[in-house]
Amino acid sequence: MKWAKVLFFILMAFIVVAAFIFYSKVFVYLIGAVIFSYVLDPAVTWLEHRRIPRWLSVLFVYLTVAGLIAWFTSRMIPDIVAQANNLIAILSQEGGINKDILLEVPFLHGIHEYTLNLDARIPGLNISNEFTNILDNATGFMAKLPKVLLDNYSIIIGAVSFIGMIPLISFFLLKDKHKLRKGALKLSSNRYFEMAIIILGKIDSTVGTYLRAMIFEVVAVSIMASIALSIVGVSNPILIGITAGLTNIIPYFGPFVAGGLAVLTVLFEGGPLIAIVYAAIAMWAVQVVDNNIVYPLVVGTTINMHPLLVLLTVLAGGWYGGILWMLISVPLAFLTYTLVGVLYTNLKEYKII
Amino acid sequence: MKTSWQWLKSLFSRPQTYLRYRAYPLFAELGSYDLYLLDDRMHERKFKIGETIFESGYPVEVVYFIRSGEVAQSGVYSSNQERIVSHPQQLGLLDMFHCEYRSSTAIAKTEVLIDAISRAELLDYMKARPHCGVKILEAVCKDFADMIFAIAKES
Repeated sequence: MKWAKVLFFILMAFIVVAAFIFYSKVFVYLIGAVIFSYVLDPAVTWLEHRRIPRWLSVLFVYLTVAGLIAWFTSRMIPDIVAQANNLIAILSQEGGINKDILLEVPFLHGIHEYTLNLDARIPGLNISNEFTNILDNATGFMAKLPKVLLDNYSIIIGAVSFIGMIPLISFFLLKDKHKLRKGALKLSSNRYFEMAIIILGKIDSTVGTYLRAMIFEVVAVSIMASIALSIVGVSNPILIGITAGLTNIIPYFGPFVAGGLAVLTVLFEGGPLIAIVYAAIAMWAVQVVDNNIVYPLVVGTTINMHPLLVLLTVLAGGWYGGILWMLISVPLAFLTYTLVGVLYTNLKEYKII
Repeated sequence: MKTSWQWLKSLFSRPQTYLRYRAYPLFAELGSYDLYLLDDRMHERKFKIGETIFESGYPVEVVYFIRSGEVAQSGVYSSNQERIVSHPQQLGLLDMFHCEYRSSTAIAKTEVLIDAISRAELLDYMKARPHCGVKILEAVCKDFADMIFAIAKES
């Protein structure tokens, strides 16, 4: 009898591994569909509580989302493309940036004049040469910047386009949410049923709340940054605003990326020094509103991760899979950390470990 | 013709099994659509004779409603007396209101069929449907009052 049990478990393990290998290619689609259904679930549940059958609620929500995407595409995409072309034109004027072009920028020109003045006063200092060397190195990086931006935006857009499949999978996840949950809990034995229900509930609420909050924040910061940058007169506000929203996913460091992009745009357009200050203040104001109003209201707490761990996670994500992984690595690490915490606490409380 | 119509109708109508929850005092006043939504959150569990349903000292998360069979509950309010719980009574409701860990142990005395709902899901349900929440809380108050009178009678 015992041998039969062991054989059964070996067979089950074999089937699970085989299924995992067989379905591994569609695993990414499934994760995408899970995220999608987590975001839409509150709207579907809200409609269901108003006596609309769940499958019809899912359809209503799908139609609304499709309408919003269609509106956004028709109204915003042409502007974003125009702004992207404008930004690329600024960053790669006349066959590429060189230090002479940079030295024409009023702010940098002022610094160069100052270093020349210092060199004239202090013999052997030669600081102006060092300054032009730094500009030389920076131009090398900036010349590649439009390509890097374009390449990675196409990766992000490419990643978004694979979602043709995601709404379909997500439809079943949303419609049969309760059946799937019941089915998963049915697998647990009576002894561990209560623990399984706690763990599943906590994972569900943590992941759901976090994902919804993150997407809400991306949209909120994108809109706020676009408006703030338009007010202070920075060009390409929508593109920089969307970049601000996306990079805001990375705590501590993300906001600086969009802030830097806004300042660079003003700098290369030859705007006055005060315009740079305005752009920086606008981005700072967006962060103040986000950190003190949007995030606490939506999530209630911030990601409790040490800045060093965030930095290492972002670097590791970047090495592993470029900008897309840099964006998702911190949420992924945070969710993994939280889930391990939930598992550990409950296994301990039920005296299993 | 009539038979074909009934057959066609049966394809689109689901058996209204969720109406059985009305037998439990907590949900007696709920409408059929409320019960239909409640059914999504209920989990059916079967326990063999002698199997432990829950044990004192473990975390509280689930309220159990007995559909059939008998359960022996010991240690309620620190008493040594064993209490027999059967359909349509429930287990674990008091613990849910006043502590984080089970104050009693429940063991199946016969084969038991149970409808179980988690605390988080019940609270979510009550929050989403306040009119149901009020009815459930009224029933809970009545249940507690009955329990207090029973204890007073015993002592």
